[in-house]
Amino acid sequence: MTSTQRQFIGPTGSRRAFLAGSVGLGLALAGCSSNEGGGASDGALSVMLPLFGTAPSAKGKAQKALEKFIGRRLNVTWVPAADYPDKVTVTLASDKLPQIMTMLKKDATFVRSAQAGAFWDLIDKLRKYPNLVGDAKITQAASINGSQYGIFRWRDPMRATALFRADWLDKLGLDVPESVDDLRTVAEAFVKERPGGQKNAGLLLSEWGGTYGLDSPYEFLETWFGAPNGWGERGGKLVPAFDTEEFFEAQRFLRSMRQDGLLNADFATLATVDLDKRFFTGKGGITVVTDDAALTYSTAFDNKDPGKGASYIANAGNLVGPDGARHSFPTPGYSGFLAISRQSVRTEQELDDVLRILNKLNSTKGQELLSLGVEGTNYEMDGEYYVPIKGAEVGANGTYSPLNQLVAACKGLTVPMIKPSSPGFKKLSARRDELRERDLKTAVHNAAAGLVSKTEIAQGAVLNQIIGDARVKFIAGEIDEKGYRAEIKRWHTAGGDKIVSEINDLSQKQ
Amino acid sequence: MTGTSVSSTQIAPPETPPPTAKAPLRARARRYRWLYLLLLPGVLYFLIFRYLPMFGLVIAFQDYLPFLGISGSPWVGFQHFEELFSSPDFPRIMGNTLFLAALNILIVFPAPIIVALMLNELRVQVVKRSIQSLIYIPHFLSWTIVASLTYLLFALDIGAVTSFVNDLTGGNVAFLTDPDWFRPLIILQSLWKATGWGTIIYLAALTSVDPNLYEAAKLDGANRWQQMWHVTLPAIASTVVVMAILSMGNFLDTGFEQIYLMINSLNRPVAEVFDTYVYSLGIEQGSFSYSTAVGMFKAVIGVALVFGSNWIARRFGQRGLF
Repeated sequence: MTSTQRQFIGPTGSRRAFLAGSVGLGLALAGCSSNEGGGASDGALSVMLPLFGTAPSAKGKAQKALEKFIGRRLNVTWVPAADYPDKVTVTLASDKLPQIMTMLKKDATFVRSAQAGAFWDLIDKLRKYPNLVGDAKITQAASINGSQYGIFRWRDPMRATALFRADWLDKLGLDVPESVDDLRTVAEAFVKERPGGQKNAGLLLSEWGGTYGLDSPYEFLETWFGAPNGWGERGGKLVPAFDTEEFFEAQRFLRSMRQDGLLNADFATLATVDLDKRFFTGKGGITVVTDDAALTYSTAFDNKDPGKGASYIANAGNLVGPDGARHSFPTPGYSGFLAISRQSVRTEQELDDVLRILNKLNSTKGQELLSLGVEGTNYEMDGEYYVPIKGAEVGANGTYSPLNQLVAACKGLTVPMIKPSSPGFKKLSARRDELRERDLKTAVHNAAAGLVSKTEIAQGAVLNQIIGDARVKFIAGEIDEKGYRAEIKRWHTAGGDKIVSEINDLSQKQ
Repeated sequence: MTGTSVSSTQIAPPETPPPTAKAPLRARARRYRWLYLLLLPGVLYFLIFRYLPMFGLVIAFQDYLPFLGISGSPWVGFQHFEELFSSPDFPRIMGNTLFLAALNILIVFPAPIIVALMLNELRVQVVKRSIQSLIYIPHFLSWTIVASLTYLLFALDIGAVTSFVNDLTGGNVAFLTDPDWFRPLIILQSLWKATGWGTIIYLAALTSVDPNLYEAAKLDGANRWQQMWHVTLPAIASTVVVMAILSMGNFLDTGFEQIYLMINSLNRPVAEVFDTYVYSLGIEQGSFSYSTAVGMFKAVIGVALVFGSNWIARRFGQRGLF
């Protein structure tokens, strides 16, 4: 995912990508047929990457320049992003693994395969490669119980925000909200006064609430209310966020907003793309999102009101909780890993070879080649910004090249941003960067980020469903507080207690 | 057909008498070798694409990990099955699956028969044909489109049907999230999508009914209703039985795509069925072995139901499937 894309694409992205038929039978067959990737025999570097958009030509100037830069041919297996997790499983079952596989998250497939020996543990192997060594905290968060089965791909550490319709705020003479209480006040004003001239829902939230652990807007809000981000310390023990009263307070807040008609009634089923559409068409004035949406939203408004798109968006950043303190929701600091196969990279020497190339690819020059292509051919620089050359840009619509999935940039991205099309956009970007810096100081980090519990790997998806469902049911008013607490208890008795004790054991060992 | 015309195909030369069952296998194989050759592609197809993959089912008895493969994954015996039957989710999912399956058999299965009988009564061929064509078009739409249409019509606040119903009754029904409305919506979708297509086979069976039978019945004073009951229905009964037995094999297949698209946090208690459960376990949680065990359990039930219903059909004097 490029940094301009929203982070929590989550299962909804693949929700409409279907898998028909029996899982087991399909796998058994697929194991024999997959032949992509290829080993190191031909001297090429084989990588498997998720594809967003259209794959660049393997014979294009950008890739040729890249191959010349690393002194190796590059053999990319592109897999459409929606099918990526399935393809990973199938590839793992085959006997021809690419040398470098992008793993999108610490899911069961990745963790269990890595622990069975599919990927190199890089914990002591990266010191020689300065571009592959990152911030110690993120490295720790990206590890799996002390092992590092891949090079993490750096992402902006702070992205959560609340966005408001700036023109509506102006019309009603309201300030950009600072706290969750302000958010409610503004929602009340929006719904009552109808500054857009039509009925609107106030705050817009999507179906993401039904899945716990997506780093979704619901979880931003919970943390703003003071709940831990994933796991937190309470009374000397690590507890999951939903065991805290603050977490429940956030649900109560949303439930009362929903009861008072300040939250879209169909929040349980609203698809995220439809949520964006409603915001653009004035059917709601507040969203909780990742801050890149400030730019994408204003671009959409720009189409309706050329040149003035940016004036429709007020970016508030992380909101202050009811306790008067700001608890900001950070990203994990990375998004996925570049994992190196032990099957196709057999010896330490071969590993050094691959790491050396990756190190080179993540230099400033390498990142530029991967993300933007060749200067003068694919893009030109204009001050600190880049401008894609029409007809030769490596990514569709002026975004980064799909090859930038190979960028780890452990110390942070050095690639320039695209030139803002209007001063309004420039102001929005500046505001975003300012808020990121402000909120990073109050970031609430996941206390169990580097820990993976065995039971969670085995049962996590089914268990977390209980939490997601309970959250939605409570906000929708289908269950009361007693029912909600019973559901949380069900999580604990159905296997959650084991997860809690495993996480606490692991944390003491570290 | 005369003997000479057949002999040119080398299949049954009339000069040699047909071998009895006692003739040695080799002689019979030699004699019918071309027929066996014709059979070969079909047999190979089933062996390679239907039977060979069944070996993959061994992962239901393993703790399968794709990276280790079938040969490298450890054996766990019946552990996954024990887990399934003792799981607190099992009764609920089994109940939901059976409920939907029963509704399918009771409502969705007879619908094409009724529609076919109604179409059969139409006199004007043009009307009959156009209705037939129009009602089977939905069959060609994917479930994604059907679900999108449902969302458009039934969404809260903005759905046409929801607004209409709620404005009319003054109620506040949320069709898409109300657990009580989940099954009716699923059945409605199935009816809309499958009924027209299903009528084709019954209409074909209806064309084979001998018109003389109707004439005879009319002479005996049978009215339209009695003609349908005593002539038409017995004539298509064997088709109905075969279709019923075949559908029993898919009894527990409640349609993954259809349900997955309609499921949400609020209707999950009634919506979760084996297909969606296997998906979240197998794909989202990576428990391939467990989900294969669940799938296998479902398949075994399906086989049992096919044999069972076939046996019943034969007991009631119908020809059955085999």
